[in-house]
This record gives sequence, structure tokens and C-alpha cells, in this order.
Amino acid sequence: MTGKELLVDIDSVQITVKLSRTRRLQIVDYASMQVHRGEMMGLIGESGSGKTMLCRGFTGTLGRRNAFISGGKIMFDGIDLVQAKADVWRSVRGKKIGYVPQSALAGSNPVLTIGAQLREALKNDKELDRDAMRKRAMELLEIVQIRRPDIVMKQYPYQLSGGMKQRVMIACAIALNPDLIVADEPTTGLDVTVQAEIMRLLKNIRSEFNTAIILVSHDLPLINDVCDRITVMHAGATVETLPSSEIEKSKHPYTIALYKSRIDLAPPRGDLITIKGQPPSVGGWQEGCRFNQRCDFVTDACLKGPHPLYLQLKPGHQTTCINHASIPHKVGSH
Amino acid sequence: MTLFKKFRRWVDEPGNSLVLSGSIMFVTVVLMGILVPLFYRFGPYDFVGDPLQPPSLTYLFGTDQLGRDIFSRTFHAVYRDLGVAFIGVSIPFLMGTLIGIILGTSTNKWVTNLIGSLIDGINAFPLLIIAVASIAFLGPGLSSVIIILTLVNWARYAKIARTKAVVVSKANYIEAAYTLGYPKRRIFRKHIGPNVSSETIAFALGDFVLVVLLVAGLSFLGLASTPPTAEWGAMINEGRSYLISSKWVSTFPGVALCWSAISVSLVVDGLNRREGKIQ
Repeated sequence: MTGKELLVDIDSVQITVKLSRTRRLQIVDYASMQVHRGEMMGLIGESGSGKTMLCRGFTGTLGRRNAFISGGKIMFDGIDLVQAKADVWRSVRGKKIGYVPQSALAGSNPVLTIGAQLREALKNDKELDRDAMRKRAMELLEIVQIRRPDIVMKQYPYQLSGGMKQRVMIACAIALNPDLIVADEPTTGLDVTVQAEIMRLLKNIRSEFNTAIILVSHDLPLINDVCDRITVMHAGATVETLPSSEIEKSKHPYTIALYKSRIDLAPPRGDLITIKGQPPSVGGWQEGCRFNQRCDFVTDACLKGPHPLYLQLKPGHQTTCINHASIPHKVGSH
Repeated sequence: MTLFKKFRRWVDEPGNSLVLSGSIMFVTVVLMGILVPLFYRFGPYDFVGDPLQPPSLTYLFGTDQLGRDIFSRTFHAVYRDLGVAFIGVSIPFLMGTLIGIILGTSTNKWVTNLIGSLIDGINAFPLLIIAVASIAFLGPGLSSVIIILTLVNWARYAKIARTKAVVVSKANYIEAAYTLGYPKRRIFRKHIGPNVSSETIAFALGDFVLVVLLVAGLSFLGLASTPPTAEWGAMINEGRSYLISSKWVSTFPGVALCWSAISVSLVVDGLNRREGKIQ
């Protein structure tokens, strides 16, 4: 997918939260990621690694959480989103970037019917008349594979299942044919079969409309199955970007550890494989590589200096591990 | 037949029977309040016969100490009592919800804290005491009651709306609305507004009962409407001296008052039960 046109270019982004008038906490301090048109990018990380904040960075809702981008740049389709003013955001949100919120169960407005919510999303663009809007809304519901859309249009969110609600949210996100969909843990709270359906749906949308999708999750195996490339975040920094087909050739110990802790790799009736130690507390990061306390391959060089920057291994594969050469070639296959 | 079956099924759902009976009771009072002034043969201030006559076919609820028809007076009071309560609830409701939403979504700490303390200050006083004290310089009258309710009661609504607005504005669907680029005004009007007001509407219904009783209570004390106005509280007060010999003078306006208050309470209870908040 590397030959394609670059859509999102996130370069060394830092995000800071205002805790009070004077106290600041940097929660993301080195995030870099490139997404190409029509590419499906997975963004993986533990809770608190800053992946949701990074998403808010390119949907422009950091301000609502008292956070701001304190460094680096985010380019989206030639637009600098860090410097973007309100009117630029207005032309980007919804129209060029669609957003699928985190929890399916609280993602839809409880007082509006599904039809009304879709109309809200459509109204955003141009004034379609009522009939055209209704037609388009039905079409959207068919795209997200909701059966009997005419009935669902009149229903309220509480009458729908979690999976259906999330489909509706996806329909809202794709209403205006955006170039990019940001799906922030779209399958949280859904059971596994529904999860798979939603993922298949996102994949279909990608191939049908050539939409780039950034899929945020902490479920590595799930993301690995559907995405073209994966970016791994750890403690406020992106540590590795690699094609999902080469996940077993990962060159960062954290990615390897995450991959190894897959539940299906654990021996039957044996203990689950975990990453030893605790993730560093947000903002209270140690010197050097932030994974150095939990890493199997740690050397003296890992303990000093600032967080290492990305090293380009080959097109589409970057890692921050300075010892990547000493990492065994293939991991995770039992 | 299918319509009837649908209706039966609807009534069988928990709470709906209460909502139904409450609404029927309420509608009856309101209808009487409209029909009696239009079509009944006696006016509320006409001296139609001998004083203190017991209920009979001529005087359905009897006559009072001045020989006025109590039936006519009781139902002439409907628009006054319920009307004042309606205005006295809806103005604070609108004001309070609006202010609460602004406070709950505003990021200006200074203003929110200031108005927040003002709200807490107002809420700290019992409504009845403020009402009695304010009437001392506003003068008795139903308009004073409306003014007092407007000045005081909005704070209760604002407090509820603020709490809810803080929660709603952090909800995922508002986040989604922002990220999908809906204009700010539409987010407030169609997304935050209805979600917040669902909470204040619930409070307003309960509040309506209290305000009906407050209006009548103040009138009973001679602080809202005063004799000879046809108003339930004032009428109960007038009949007080004849309670032993001629019970009907106080009883019928009292029943009308209870009837209206109970009808709204039933609706509130029924709605709560439907939502599963009480069993």
C-alpha cells in the first residue's frame, strides 16, 4: 500500500493536557504515523498509551478535554490540522473525516430516532430536500447492512442492539463520503461475532469507497486480521509501524510481547502469557526507552537519553527499538 | 377490535394504568374548567339564593355564606389555580433549563462558580418562607406568586439541568456530533437540549403538584388571591367558619384541589413506573 497517495501524515506529535492553570501533563510525546488513501491502519496500545488522544488530535476535539497539540504536525490531505481554524475544521469534520465513537452503547443520541440521526449527519453538507435525505438515509442503512431499514428509521436507539447501533454510527460517519474514517474502539462492548461483523463491514466500506480507516483498539489479533498496517503505541509514543502480514517479523520487543500474549498462543490449561511489570504511569516516563523496565532485550543504551526516534527498516516498517538488529528474526510461532 | 386490543395491551404495561387514570382525572378538571364558565347558568359572583344551602339539584355543590353557587365558583377557579401553576412552572422550567445548560457546558470557571453559588444560595431557602416574605413587599395577588416562582424556582431547575448537562456534554454521542462537524447551535438545540430537558421535565411534573398546592396554600392564608375571588384556597378559607354546620363550603373546593394534585401525581408515578424507577 506504500505506492499510494499520502492522506494523513502525523509527525512527532505531542499532546499536552491542562490540569490546572499552571500544571501541564504531556500525555503523548512522540507520535508518528502515515496513512495512505484507502489504507486500513490499526492503532494499537494499552489503556493510557494516548491512542484515543491522538485520534482526538485529528478530529479536533482535544480542546473539549482541555488538551492541545503542543508540538509536531498533523497534515491531512494537504491541510495542516494543528494550525487549523474553526472554519477549516468545519470543512473537514464529517465531510472529510468521519468518526465512529468509542462505545456502541452510548454512541447514539438516545432522544433522536435513527432516521433523525442520519438526517442530522446528512444536513451537515448541503440542503437536501426531505425526500432526497430520506432516500439517502435508507441507502446508508443498506450499506451498513441493516435489515428492514424503513422500520429501523423510525426506531429509537434503545430499541436496537449494540451491533445495530454501531452500524448506525458507522452510517452517520460515512454519510458524506469522507476520505478518512476514525473508528475509536468501535467494537468495545460488543460480543465476538458482532465484532467480526462490524470489522467485515468496515472492510467492505474501505474496498467499496476507497476510504482510509484508522482503527483504534487494544485487541492486536483482531486488528491484525483486518488492517493493512499496524501502528503500535506505548506510553505516549508510537513504537512501531509495520505491515500486518509481517507482524511475526516485528522488530520491537513491545509489539512482540503484545503479540505473544495472545490468548490462543497460551498452552491449554496453562498460564496466560503476560508482559511483566506495569506500564509506566502517564507522563511519568523514565529516561531512555519507556519499555526498558519490561523488556527482555534491554541493554545499557536503552536506559539513557530521550525516547528513541523512528528508524526506517524498510518501506512501511519503522521501529523505535535501537537494538532491533539483535531481536530474533521470527517470533510468536508455536 | 385491534385498536381495542392494542389499548388493552398498552394499559397492561406497568405504569400505564396510572398514567391513564391520572390523565383522565386531569382532563376532567380542565374540561369542567372550560365548560362550566361557558355554559353553566350561574356566574361565580352572582348571589343566586339563600346562603349556606346544602347541595341539591338546583345548587349542585350548595351555596356559600353569601348565597353564591359553589359549583360555579369551584370550576371557575380551575383556570386561575391550574393556570397560575402552569405559568409558575413553565417559566422557571424554561429559564432554569437554559441557564443550567449554559452553566453545564461553559468552560468559564469564574462565571459558572458565581452563578452556581447563587443557585445554591437560592435553593438553601425553603420556597414557602421566601414566598411569604416576598409577598410582604410585593403585595398579595396571583401575579406576585408568579413573580416569586420565576425569581426563585428557576434555581432548582438550573441545578438539575446543570448536573445533567455536564454528563451529557461529555457523552459519546455529543463527542460524535462534534466530530461529525454538526454546527454548535444544532448540537445545543437538538442534541444537548432534549437530553437535558428530559430530566427537568420530570422534575417539572412533580413540581406542578407542589406549585398547585402552594398557590392554594398562599390563597388560604390570604397572600395570593383574596376573597371574593373564586379560587380554591380562598374558598376553603371562607368556608372555615362554617365547617361544622355547612361542610360543603370548604369541602368541594378542597376536593377539586386534591383531585388536580392527585391526578398529576398519578401521571408522575405512572411515568416513573414505566421507566422502571420505582416498582
